[in-house]
Amino acid sequence: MFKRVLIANRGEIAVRVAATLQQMGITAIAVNSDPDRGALHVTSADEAYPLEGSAAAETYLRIDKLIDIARKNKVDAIHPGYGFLSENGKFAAACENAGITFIGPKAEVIRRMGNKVEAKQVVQQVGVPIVPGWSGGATSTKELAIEAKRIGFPLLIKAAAGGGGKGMRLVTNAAEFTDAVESARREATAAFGSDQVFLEKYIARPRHVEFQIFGDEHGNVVHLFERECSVQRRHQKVVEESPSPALTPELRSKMGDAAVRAAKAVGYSNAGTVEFLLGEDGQFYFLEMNTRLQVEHPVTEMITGLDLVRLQLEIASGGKLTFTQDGLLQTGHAMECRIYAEDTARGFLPSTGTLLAYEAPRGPGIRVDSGFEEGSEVTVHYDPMLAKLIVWDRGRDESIRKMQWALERFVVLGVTTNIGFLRALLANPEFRGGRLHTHFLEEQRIVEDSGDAPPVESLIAAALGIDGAARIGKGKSSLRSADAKDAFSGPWTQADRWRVA
Amino acid sequence: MSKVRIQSSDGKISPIVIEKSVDAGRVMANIDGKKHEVEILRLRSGRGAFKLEGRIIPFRVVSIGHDVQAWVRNRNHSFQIVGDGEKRRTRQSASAKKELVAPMPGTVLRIHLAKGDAFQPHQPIIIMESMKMELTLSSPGAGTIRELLCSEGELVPLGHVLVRLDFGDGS
Repeated sequence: MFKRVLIANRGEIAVRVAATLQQMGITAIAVNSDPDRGALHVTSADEAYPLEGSAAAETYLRIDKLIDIARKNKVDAIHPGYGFLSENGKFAAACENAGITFIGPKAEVIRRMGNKVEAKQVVQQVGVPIVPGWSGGATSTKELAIEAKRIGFPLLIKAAAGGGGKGMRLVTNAAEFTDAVESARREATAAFGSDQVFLEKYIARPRHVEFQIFGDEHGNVVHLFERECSVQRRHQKVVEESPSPALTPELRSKMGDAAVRAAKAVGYSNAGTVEFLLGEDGQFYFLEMNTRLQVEHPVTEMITGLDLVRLQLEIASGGKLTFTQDGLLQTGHAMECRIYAEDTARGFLPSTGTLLAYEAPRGPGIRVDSGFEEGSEVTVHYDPMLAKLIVWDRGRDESIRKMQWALERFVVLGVTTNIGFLRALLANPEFRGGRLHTHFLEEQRIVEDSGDAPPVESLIAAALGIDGAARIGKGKSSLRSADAKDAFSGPWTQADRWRVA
Repeated sequence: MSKVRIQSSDGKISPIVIEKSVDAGRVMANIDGKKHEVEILRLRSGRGAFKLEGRIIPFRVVSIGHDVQAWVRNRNHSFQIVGDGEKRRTRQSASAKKELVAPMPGTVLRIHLAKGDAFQPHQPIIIMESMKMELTLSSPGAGTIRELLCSEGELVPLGHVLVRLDFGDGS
């Protein structure tokens, strides 16, 4: 087993990976940008080394700096987390070249699955269904238009090198096609440096159902069941759960087999996720494969009782999977809500500032993964996800009730969050009934209940909690990050005037 | 005794008087002339709990200047502290339409027009980026650029005026 592992990431995933490393007796080594010097992922590590700069492009995305730090500090493996360099074949190759183990699949596998066009060709060859479409190489817009007619409308234009919805267009008729291709190409070039696009039949009201897979370096591959991630906004997942309310045991076994076949087709090792679209008719189609640990991996950990990071480390150091498919059980129901610093009422715009209050809920079957603590700054430089709130219970109804309870007790002040929105979402009858699809949020138009006049109790709490008279006339009129920072360390933010005698 | 005037997000102002009574930990809260007996169970650094009509109310309060944010028994509320006879405006100001304002803190990625350039309704003027997300700011109507108050690559806070617009109506 490794002795010193560097975590090439930040935030909650770096905190989570460090915990498993330390529990296994491995030294957890963090890296940090300048604004992250005092961040939770640094203070929870055993050692930390600076990546000078602020923006991701000059810090967490710098392969040269990371390899340099790893070499100087005798690191024997690097865990990439998710995002940043986790699906960058060049980074995996740079690690291999430097004699450092990259905790993930081989560089060549990352590269092949990273190209969405090639990935589809590979899995199709082993009989995994893909969405009808066209995915040839670089082609003129005219030739694409002919293919579009063959597939039929509505269809989707997608960037070959893309993800996250960039370079994606929905075209409902032939007249819109040419403009849409040109615009998708421009966006794809700006975002990924490649204007290659592909076409896909548009599946109405599909679910997003993905399978966690694990392979070792001895040819064994298993799946750790599904996660339903249909509740998305702007192609970003908001709620994930397992089991999916849509899967029967038969369908689960069919999709799981397909996921394992897809992984075996590329000689996959370590943790990966095979994403499927599931139509209303029960037909499923391969979407893409993520060659890394997913944000929503705790959902799988809750229903299997496994530590996926530990498995990753065991496999990366040459170990064999210690269980077979038949030995795995999907127990109870787990659900994750992503807590974002964002203003859902204003189009999910990110919100920044200081976490003047941050208290995560606690209780049996409740897990909170976060890279923030009270006093942390939420900056424009990185992802606005504050925390992942995960619950486990016997069944879906119980999980939803537990999630509601936990959301009600999640205290965040200083930045705007989606907690109120999530509460409204969980109360939605369609959500409760498990009738989900990827356009669910747009269709249901869930609105946070902002409440009417504040109840008397909130006025009393405000009066007790503040030292009102002392502040009138010397305050500023809005919450701003810089002011908030001063205020947080200042003596007058949180007054104690009404101390109990 | 302590007096404070609190304006809720719906604009309503409530004068609140907290009177300490003889019994330690028990106070009388007078809101709009109506009295409520409150038993304080715990209170420190804006964090605590009290009993009101038999119910336990946990809370957490923070403030910056006049702005108060509170989590009170499972809900967030925001308030403003106001002086005697004072009332604060809500965030949106009347001049908003003649300016493009940063709707989020972030980086100015592109500026499509220069000072004096004419624009049509819904024409993209500025592209901003924040937390890996792009946002296009478009013109609300037809007019010309009066003044550019940002540059490409600049990091701007929420509410920063990016561009002043002229709508040719003499305003």
